[in-house]
Amino acid sequence: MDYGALIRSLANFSSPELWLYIVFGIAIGLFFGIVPGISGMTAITLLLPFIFNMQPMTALTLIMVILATQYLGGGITAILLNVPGTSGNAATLLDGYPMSQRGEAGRAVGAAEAAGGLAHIVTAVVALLIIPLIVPMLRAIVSADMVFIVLTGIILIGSLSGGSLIKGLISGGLGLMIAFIGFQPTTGYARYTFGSLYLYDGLALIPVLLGLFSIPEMVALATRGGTISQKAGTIKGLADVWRGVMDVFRHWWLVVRSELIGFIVGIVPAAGPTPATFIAYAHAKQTSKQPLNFGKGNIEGVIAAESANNSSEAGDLLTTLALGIPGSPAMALVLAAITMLGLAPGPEMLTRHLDLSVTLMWTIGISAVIGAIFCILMAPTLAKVAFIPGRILVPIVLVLALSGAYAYHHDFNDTIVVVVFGAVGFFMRRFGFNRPAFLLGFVLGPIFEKFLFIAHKVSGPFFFNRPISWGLIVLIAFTLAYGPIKNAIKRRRQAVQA
Amino acid sequence: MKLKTNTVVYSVLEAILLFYVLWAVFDVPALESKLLPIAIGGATLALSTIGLARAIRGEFKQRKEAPAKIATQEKRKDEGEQEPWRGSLINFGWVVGFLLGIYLLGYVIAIFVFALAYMKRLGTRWRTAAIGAVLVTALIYVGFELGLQLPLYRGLFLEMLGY
Repeated sequence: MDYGALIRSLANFSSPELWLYIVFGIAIGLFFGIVPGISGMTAITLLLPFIFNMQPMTALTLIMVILATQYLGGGITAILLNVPGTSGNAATLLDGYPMSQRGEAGRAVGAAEAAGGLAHIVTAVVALLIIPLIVPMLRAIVSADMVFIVLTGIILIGSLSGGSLIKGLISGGLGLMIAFIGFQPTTGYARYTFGSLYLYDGLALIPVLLGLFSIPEMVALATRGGTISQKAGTIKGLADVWRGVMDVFRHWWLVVRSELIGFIVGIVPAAGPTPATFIAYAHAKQTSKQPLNFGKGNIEGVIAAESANNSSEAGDLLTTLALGIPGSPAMALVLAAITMLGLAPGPEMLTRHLDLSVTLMWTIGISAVIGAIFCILMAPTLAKVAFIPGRILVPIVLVLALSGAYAYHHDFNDTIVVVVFGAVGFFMRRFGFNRPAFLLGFVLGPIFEKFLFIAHKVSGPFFFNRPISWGLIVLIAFTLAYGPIKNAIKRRRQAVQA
Repeated sequence: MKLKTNTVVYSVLEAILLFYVLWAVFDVPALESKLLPIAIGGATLALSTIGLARAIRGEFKQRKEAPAKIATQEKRKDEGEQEPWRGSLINFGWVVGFLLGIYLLGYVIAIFVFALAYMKRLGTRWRTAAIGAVLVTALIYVGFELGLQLPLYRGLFLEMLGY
């Protein structure tokens, strides 16, 4: 391991341009985190058309800053409005909102922001330190293993992201199928182009992404009506906020345990921040001296939830960079951005592009600390952002989505693709299909096909006869069998009880 | 007999997947090119068939147990916490209308008209909607045409008029 990279990458932060993007990213991340109904994912989706010709370092830094700060913003609305800004803040409101109702909103916000900022910096450093353990493992991976790594990623995202297993797997399959449109790289034959020149190069990532994620969310927000809860809590003053900050240091052992839970769950592919927060919350309740106060405004609940969701980010990023398997739906977008910027997700990110990966880890920590300090100082003002009504937000986001698609290739057909995949995303959302799995299939489809053919050419039809490949096959089999077996056992127990 | 939502969804999906697989079998030339589309399409088709079979089985089972009660539960479950169909389709129709507007009038005019009309339809006051529409149009124009030096699509009408 090149330990010099840890220090060398810090030199990247001497660039004023990078700092400009960090500040811009913090503002965007907080805004999209605070406004309920949209998240950092929406922000990244809208930004992708504009970053494709940027330097990978700048572009990915901007994306990571947005992801790292969205939960900090989301915690504020969870506490003040009882509406989590992002799904990762769902457990924060359980104790945050009762505290707000009790007149302790400032204390809860202070605790949430301090726990969040601290979690990011600690876990970013931990992630950097364990890279040396991961690199040797990555060097053992060959094309045959990559085939199963891609399959494992799609199957894990499809099966573990909640909802129906079959629908999750179908979504991943559909994504792969869409990726096969266009020229096949090894033979040069066109597939599913229906004579259209536009389809010869395959569908572009950005229009598909914009359609899948931004259009359905905006249609839903417009239909629901944009007014958020009217019963907002208020933050009285900074002294109250500071009391919350000190609470985090008073409960340092809880912070450490929750961060560990968040980080480990973050590393698990497809788990994401939401399960991490609830596991940490349940753990805090189990180990607390005042378990009965949980749900009624216990500061430990806020600290555990915010420490865990913010810790999951570094773990998520590590898995995404090292294996090319996104740890959460948001990381599927990071993976898409990495591909779009001409980099290969997977082992290369921790070997050839180690500097970039290390910079991204530092970015998570540094931007979250700045974001947390900003939130602590500006909490009363930031809370007002949540009241921007959907009736203004929705048309603006739709305009950005349809214009952003055009910016990518300067081709009107891309705008049509946005609306077509908007319809696909709308129906997928409506009928419970898994859009992140679809996206992952679409992004990894060409990689999957390429490695499959290389593996077949090099090792013949039994290319999978390798320890890593077999390990992954077992993991896939376990993932697929786990749900049905669990259900069968449950049904049997119910039958016995009846 | 009214079919359950899942049954209809899986049936439509089956038709699409079957078309995809058959297209690969008959239209894509080399085995190397058609192998993965057939394999992945076939596996997805198999999954969809399992889903369809489950949906039909569940439907029959439920109808046998308590038809009236289940029908109400089913409706509730289908609708769940989802937004109403009518409203969603109308709002999606606005997006399609915006696309059509861009095709005919070009980005700049369509953005202004869409932002103004849609903000108004969603309940914004005229003055706020007008200010919002001007700002978002200016943002796109300045960002694309001046900032990125990227000429926005002019639309069919303006192109016919020679702009």
